[in-house]
Amino acid sequence: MVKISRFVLVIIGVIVTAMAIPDLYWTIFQESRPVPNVMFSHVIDDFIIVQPGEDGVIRKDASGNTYTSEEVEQKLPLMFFRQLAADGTMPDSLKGVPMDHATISTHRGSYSYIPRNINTPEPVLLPLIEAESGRVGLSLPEDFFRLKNRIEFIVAETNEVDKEKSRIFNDALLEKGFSFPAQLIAGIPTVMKSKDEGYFIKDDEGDLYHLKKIRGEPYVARIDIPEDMDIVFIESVDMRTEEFYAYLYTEDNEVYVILDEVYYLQKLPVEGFDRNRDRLRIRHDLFGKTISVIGEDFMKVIRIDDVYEVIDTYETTWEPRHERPDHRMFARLFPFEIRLEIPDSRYVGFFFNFAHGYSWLLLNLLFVALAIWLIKRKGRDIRKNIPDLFVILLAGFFGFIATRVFPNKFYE
Amino acid sequence: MYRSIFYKEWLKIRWALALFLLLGLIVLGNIFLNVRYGVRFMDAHDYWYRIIIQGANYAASLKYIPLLAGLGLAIAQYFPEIVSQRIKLTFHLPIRENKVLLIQHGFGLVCLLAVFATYLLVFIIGSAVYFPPEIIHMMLTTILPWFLGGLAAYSLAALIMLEPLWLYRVLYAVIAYGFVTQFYIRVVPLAYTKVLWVFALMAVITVIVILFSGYRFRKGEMHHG
Repeated sequence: MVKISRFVLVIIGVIVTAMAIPDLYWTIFQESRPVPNVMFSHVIDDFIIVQPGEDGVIRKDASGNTYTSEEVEQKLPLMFFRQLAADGTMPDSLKGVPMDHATISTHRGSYSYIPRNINTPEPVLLPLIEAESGRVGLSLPEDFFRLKNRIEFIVAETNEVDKEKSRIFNDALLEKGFSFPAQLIAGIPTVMKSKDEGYFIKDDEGDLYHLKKIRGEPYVARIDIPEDMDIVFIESVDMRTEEFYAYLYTEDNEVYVILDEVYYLQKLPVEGFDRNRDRLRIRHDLFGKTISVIGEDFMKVIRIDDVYEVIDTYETTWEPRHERPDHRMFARLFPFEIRLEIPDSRYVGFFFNFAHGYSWLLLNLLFVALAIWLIKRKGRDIRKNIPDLFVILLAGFFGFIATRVFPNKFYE
Repeated sequence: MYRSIFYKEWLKIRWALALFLLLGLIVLGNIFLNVRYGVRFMDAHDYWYRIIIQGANYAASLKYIPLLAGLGLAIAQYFPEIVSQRIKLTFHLPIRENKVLLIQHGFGLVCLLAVFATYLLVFIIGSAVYFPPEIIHMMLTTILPWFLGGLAAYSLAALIMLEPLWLYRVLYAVIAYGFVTQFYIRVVPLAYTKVLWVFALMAVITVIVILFSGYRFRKGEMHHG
């Protein structure tokens, strides 16, 4: 029993040191490697790459010509129109389209996806905001709804279900063929947006529905999706151009947008994107969108026009994380690290990051040798310390500290 | 025999228990006065919105109460033992030493759990007046790690106090600090959902570490005479 209690303490020691020591290491040694910023210029019909590096920022196009900061601004009038207007260098028209500030501004927008977007706890109840109140601003309703085996509105003031309203909305969902419980629900549950578009809901059969409240009445639409489409995530956006409602992610790592009014699912050309690993950065402008798929060691940029046709692509790669000096040194020092929080998730977890390769084995063996020497010096039996040596072999520095702090047979 | 052990422990910890029970109830009372104010005098739906959508935690002031209770109980129970080295006498009782230690520690643990259960019961009843089950469940998932941290702190504080050498006390305290802070990360509500059972397991297995310190205490006694 005493042995088990010591074993528990050694485990605790390994967990704590495997969190604290790497944390300290990264604070001191982590190098930042900024991802290049890739934009599409309608002036030269080519990508412009802005890459912060050790010798300052490099600005070039995909063909290799380099530019100054001012030249980049001039090549990107849709992004820097305010600066160009102030300088008096803004062109009157681009590709035959007059450059009107209001229009440029309305069409500008951006969206970014990181795996953390999916790995986030969902709100347990949601407000269904009135979409057409006739008022300029949106306001929060008095109740919040749950969507389990039926839809139920709970009035905050009284903490009781509004039975009549719940029945009306429940019937409206059932009438369109909705099957409870909902598997997924997405919307923007705040009044800080330009208009309300309610919620997109995946039902128990995997079908997609749109739910809104219009002048107090339910609005339910069933959205046609391909038979075999398995939706895993939807993220609603608030677009001034009212082009689409939301981004939609499938099990097969396809990304769609749900076009406004017509509910057509438009696929985005993001082959190779992995929602559990990669990031997406999408910039909208008057003529189309620039989509960047950013992985650990690559970036793929796709330019599409206003009807989602690909007009140009750009790809670049850089050294993978484990080849960078800070990560290589880490792998020589530590076999793994434990983190409770990672950038890819808002959930707490025991995230084990194992070092790349086996270069840590050398240091671990040195610690094992040191431990054997210490045991022998005290004239103790090596055989009784074999479990400790195993812990040190696997957990290296962490194991060495843990087994020393909670010593085996301290007193003779 | 067991009865007299329980009685001895009870004499040591009853005032500490009463103190922390009262402290927790005062904090909970304050929490629900604030909730009542929020629901009645602000707009109830705004108040809900802050909790559900913005992640405001109305139980925030309860955060370190279980930790304080765990530490306080450990001090009340083990400090008298080490100042007068009374635990030596315990080890002369006609029961196996480990068993005595586990019974003592188990008794303290059950008392601590009773205090925690009272807190949680009051919290659930109070919340149920103002909020639906979804919010109560969300809040419980969010505050349970604080209670598990209190349990772990109780056992680790006992370990530290029973350790005979100051150097090791300090080392244990450093590790214990790193361990217990895991239960108190500042995160969004429901963030602990996926690992709640792991944390519960970690808090539970920590109970057994009392045997390690008991062992060292015994050996240390022999060593120092």
